[in-house]
Amino acid sequence: MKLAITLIFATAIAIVTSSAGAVTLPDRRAYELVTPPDKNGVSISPAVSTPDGSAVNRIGLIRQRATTARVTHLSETAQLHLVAHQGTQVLHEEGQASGTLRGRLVVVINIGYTEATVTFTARSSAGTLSGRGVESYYVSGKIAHFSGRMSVTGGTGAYAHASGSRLQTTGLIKRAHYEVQMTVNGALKS
Amino acid sequence: MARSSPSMSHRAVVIPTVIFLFALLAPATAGASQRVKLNASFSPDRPGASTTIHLGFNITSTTGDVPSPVTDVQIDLPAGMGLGTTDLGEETCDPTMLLAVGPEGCSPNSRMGFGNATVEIPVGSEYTKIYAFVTIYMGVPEKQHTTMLLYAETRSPIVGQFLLPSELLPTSGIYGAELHTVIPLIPTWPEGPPAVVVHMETTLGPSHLTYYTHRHGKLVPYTPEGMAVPERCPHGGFPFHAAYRFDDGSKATATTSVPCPRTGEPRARRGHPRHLAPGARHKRR
Repeated sequence: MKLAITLIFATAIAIVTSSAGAVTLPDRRAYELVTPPDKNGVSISPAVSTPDGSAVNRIGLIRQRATTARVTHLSETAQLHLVAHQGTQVLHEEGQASGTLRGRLVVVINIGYTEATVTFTARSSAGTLSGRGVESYYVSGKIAHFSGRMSVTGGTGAYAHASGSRLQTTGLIKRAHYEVQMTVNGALKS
Repeated sequence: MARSSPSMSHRAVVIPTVIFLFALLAPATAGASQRVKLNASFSPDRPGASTTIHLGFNITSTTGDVPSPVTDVQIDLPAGMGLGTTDLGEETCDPTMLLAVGPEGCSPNSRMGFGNATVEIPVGSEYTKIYAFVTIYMGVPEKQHTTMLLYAETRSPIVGQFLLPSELLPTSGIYGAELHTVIPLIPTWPEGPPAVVVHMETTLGPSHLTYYTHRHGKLVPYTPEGMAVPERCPHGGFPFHAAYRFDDGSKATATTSVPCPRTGEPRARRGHPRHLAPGARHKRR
């Protein structure tokens, strides 16, 4: 299969480059699909021609794993402490997370009257994972509460292709010293 | 037909006259509506400063009579503020304790502000004004919303108290939240008309508030941190908007804004040594 795709692709490029623009496709089309949409796990990167256009010096053919996205159940608990604040609304918190990621967690909480925007970056030995969510927020005396859903916004290493948009988040903020207890649960695709 | 003409003419005069007399005798509030004037200020008003929000309203009737009782108030607060790192309402106040015992039933650390209200009550065929002291407490959350309790008490000429629960609700646009207060009709005497709140001034912030904390076995007083004046002031100032519903079914709205602080005014330094862990720092925007 791989050989067949390579041959089709190389043949198509040879036609395009050897005729120096004289090629006409049926129906005056400017392009033609030469590889099937389903490439059985093989992706073909754009070809780069030499400056004079006489030859193709690279055909990017990258072998990828022909696997479906792996789903991991993320269950993370963290105890965070205040390291800085901006004005009275933005808390910068850091601490250790335990659970699926088991690493350092950096969280920024931007607090309004009824909403808190929470962004996080988790750093573990396998990579980093970042996310963001707008949570409902309310105060009950010494404790402020936030809850809602967060989405993955990026990652590196093992989490480079991670995604997830329904990460259930609950947290409480101890107002005396702004220590935060936070849990994140949900499906993480990678 | 010729004899009926005078009768028809007479009827044509009498009917409008009766309608006119009914209009004169109808209650003054029928067809009347209410006007509301809203005022707001920050004290101090330096960007970043721990501030006290002063908020007040006056209700008048377009006919000059006693207005219809207000039953619902929604006040939109400017965005960029919030309870964030404030100390306001460190404790919650149980409304049943407040009504049963009075202010002593709740911790001083649950107080969030003070104020006063003017209430018109019917005395015979006239209305007379009485004045109430208002204290705002942090309430117990309802349906995951921060709540506040407006507790008002009158001492002279009559002793009374009433409690108005308010809740902070989400809103959008240039406003950060809506403070929603349902005001039940305040009974006066059996079959008598309800009392009418015509004026209220309240504060929300540390002004005149004293909290207490235990340090080394002693009770130490301190002034709580209030909400901060936002660093960025929107064009036209910090906006406030209020919507009122009245017992006669009418509605009224009012807007006001707190002017932007003068440019060049020193930005308030704000640190929370009590809140920050060792090594923590205050970031400047």
